Amino acid sequence: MAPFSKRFAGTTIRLSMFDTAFPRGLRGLVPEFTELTGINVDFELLGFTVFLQRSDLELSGGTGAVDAMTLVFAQSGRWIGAGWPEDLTPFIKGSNFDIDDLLPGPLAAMRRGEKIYGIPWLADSQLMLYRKDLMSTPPDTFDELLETAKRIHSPSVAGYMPAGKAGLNWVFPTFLYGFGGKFFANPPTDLRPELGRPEAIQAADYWAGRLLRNYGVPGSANFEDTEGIATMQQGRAAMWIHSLGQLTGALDRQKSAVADKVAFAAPPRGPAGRFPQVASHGLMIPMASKKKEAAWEFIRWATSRETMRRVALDSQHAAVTRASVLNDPEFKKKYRLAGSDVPALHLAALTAAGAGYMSYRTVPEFPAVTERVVIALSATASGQKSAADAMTAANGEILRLLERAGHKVR
Amino acid sequence: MPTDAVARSSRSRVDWWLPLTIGVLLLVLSPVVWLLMMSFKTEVDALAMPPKLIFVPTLENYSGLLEARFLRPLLNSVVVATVTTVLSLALGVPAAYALSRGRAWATGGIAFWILATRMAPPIAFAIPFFLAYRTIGWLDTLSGLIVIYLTFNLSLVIWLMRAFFDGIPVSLEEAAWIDGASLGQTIRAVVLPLTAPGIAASAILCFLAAWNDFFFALVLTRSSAMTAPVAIVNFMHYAGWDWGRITAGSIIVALPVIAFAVPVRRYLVSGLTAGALKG
Amino acid sequence: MTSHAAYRRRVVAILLAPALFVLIAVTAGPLLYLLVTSFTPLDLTRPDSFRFSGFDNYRELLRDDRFWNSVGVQFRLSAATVLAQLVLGLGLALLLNRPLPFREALRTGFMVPMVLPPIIVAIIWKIWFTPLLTPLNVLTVPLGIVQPSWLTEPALALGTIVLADVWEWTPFTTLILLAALQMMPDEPLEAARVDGASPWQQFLWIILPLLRPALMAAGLFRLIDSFKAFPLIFVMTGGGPGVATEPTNYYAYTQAFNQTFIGYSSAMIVVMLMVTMALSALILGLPGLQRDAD
Repeated sequence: MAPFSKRFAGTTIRLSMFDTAFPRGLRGLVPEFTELTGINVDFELLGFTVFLQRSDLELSGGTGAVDAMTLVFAQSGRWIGAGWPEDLTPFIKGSNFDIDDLLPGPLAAMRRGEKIYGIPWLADSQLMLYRKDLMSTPPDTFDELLETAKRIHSPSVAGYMPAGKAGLNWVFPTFLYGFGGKFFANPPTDLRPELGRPEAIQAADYWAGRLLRNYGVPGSANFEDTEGIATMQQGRAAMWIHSLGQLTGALDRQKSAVADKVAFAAPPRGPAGRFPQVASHGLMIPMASKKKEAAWEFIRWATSRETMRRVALDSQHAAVTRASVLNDPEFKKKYRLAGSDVPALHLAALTAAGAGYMSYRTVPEFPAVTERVVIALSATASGQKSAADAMTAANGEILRLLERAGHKVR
Repeated sequence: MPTDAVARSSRSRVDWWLPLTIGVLLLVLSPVVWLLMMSFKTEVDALAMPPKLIFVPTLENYSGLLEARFLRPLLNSVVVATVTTVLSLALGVPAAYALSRGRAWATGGIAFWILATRMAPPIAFAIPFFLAYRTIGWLDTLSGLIVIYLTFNLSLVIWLMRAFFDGIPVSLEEAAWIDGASLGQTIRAVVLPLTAPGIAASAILCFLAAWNDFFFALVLTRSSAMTAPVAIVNFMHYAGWDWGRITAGSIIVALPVIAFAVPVRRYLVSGLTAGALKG
Repeated sequence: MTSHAAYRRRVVAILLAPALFVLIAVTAGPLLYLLVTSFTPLDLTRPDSFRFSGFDNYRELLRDDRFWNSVGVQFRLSAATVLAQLVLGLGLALLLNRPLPFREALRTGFMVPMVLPPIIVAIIWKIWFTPLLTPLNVLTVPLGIVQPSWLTEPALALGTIVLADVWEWTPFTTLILLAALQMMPDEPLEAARVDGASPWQQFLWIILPLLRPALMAAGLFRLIDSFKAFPLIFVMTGGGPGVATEPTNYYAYTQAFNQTFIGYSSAMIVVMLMVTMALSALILGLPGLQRDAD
């Protein structure tokens, strides 16, 4: 890779990312970047749902107020389709960036043919964090999960940690597919929604209607990820299925009361199999930015092998996207976490997803679809509607939504 | 006097009305007092369970605001509110005068329009302005906010000042005219001094309406033109809510409002109802 | 005299023109643009979507359950808040009409909730209903009571918004009713008292009827204003749980600014505007209204 220079010394770039392990670790290293290049970085770290709202407004408004930002997996289809991220291919070539070291799976979501629109820094997979002091073996099937949650659930320790709105959006699919359901018939071509089918209803009923409603941490429906992490750290929940990037927060020895009492496992499997979700988030440059070259300098520094390795080793970022880092012996040693082989679990999830069941998530209309699903699940989890009513209604709305977007879905 | 007509009817009762009223007032204001208290608490004290009513106050939340670069949004608020007020007055006062001295047919239609636009939900304007600003590059600019604030402030000034001008008999102006004064001189020497309180009230109401705005700023600004209310809400959205800064920022934004509102108490209702009602 | 009047008329036109032009430009123009957009399926992620699609958006609204839910939420919200504000406002106005010492100071004190920036009101009440921070803990913790999750319980969430809104706007109805009470003529009450009517009878048969115009005006204004509720919902519940606290205004906001479905949102807002304008026309037609032009 081309060396860094002080060509852009004195510029300030604005960076906006949502809060998770990697940006947290990255933020500490930014002064070194400024040292190296003379570029100042205005680093904004937001809660996930707020980040999405702001980013959408920023991108659709094209104000150029942000120079580099996270490219969210679930939005990648929509944002790239709208032409909002800048094509990074010329920058990659021009600076000899070692793009080949990046794992192809995570990169695929940000690539359209020869053009690359984002550099992935997070190849997130879904794992289950559990309290090994409260159970001898983690649950392996959905039924076991429910039983274990029920058994452990008490006023001081909830059976399960719902992780708020992000959780409804991100974890429900594991159960949807686990029960044999799906979002669309055959994305990206056949987008007929299948959320009103018995399997989907069963998944919603199990997940929101029973697990979250009865054994969830009270008041967690509005939690952002940070509050979820804090709750786990305080030892107030027994199990949590979420992305690796957030789960590792519970291991922070300084803040977590249960750092030594947790372990990792794969998410449980349902009648139709195990479908851990994966997502890749990257860094992109909005089209409206006026400081693209400087922004690229930052991106290539942030996603470089050295930086990524350091963040992985110094903080809790295990969901790396570079083959070289994944195979690094120190990395492997560090993340043999709590007796669980996290890199192995992580790789297993990424490999499983290679089968293609994640293709629903990069459909451009997915963000609008998931908004309706989250509302249905939220209504089910709070007892306002039965799973059947909520999901059937949502499916009808989604059908019309897709029709309005111009798809043939009937 | 009409004022005491109702009150006189039950004077025979024991006079515990004052303590009752004060009690109700304290109850009503307690949430505000709590906000004030929280702004002086350390994070530990703020999260203490049960909450501390007695604690050692600290200024760290306020100084933390400087660190959080709250000064810029605060200044933005001041600039935008001031400029929009001046603009509204400059355009609105002459228009109000014209309406007052003009024919009745014009005022009826304008009255309805002004009322209707003040009653419209802000989003009705936010969407077209967002689309337009997006094209001309006025998103995240102070000018953008200043112009959209005219949607409610211009009509406020026109309607409030028209009532004031109505209160000044035309005969005064005509007398000055006979004495040889030009219209400009008449206005300056005779009309304006008499309506000075009205202009002051309108100015304050405009300033407050702009200062208090949240929705337009939320949608139309991003970082450069962000105003204080949006900055405070930002503190809620960064990882881990920063209650100290949220409450300190809230107090700073709320205080000028309370201070300014006191002298214009008489006109508050008029201001809020586009002059249709007296308060 | 004539020449002054004629001169004045010319000047009037010149003075009025700039303001009128600006007023039309910033209000009528945008609203027209909104109307036009409502006839398109405009989605900012799809540049080709600014095309005429007739009444599609409006037809969709009719079939949209979430829209009807938002109308229901709005209805419940408006009914509860307007009613509460009128009742409490009346009580407070009667109280403040008494010949109390420090009356001006007291009245100013009661005004505070209304003049606070609405976003601050939202934060105040968010704190109040967050179990971690609320002063309610002063009572509940020593007694060992566990507070419900106010903002996420479907049965309670809308109630918290209603409470905050009533707290914020009751001063408005209070001020209007107070002004009306002060303008009330002496004679009917004197006559009633002479006839031996009790205070309660005086209130019911004399005061209340005389207050009717003011009550209607205040109620109508608060009704229209209640459609604008935004900061409270944005900060306190985000429309949740589910869509239990999502009134139409907020739904329109999510569609336009979280989802970039500008066309659809515009149609929703046009519908809201028509209702608002009809209600505004009602206001101007109200009999016995106290106008500033007295």
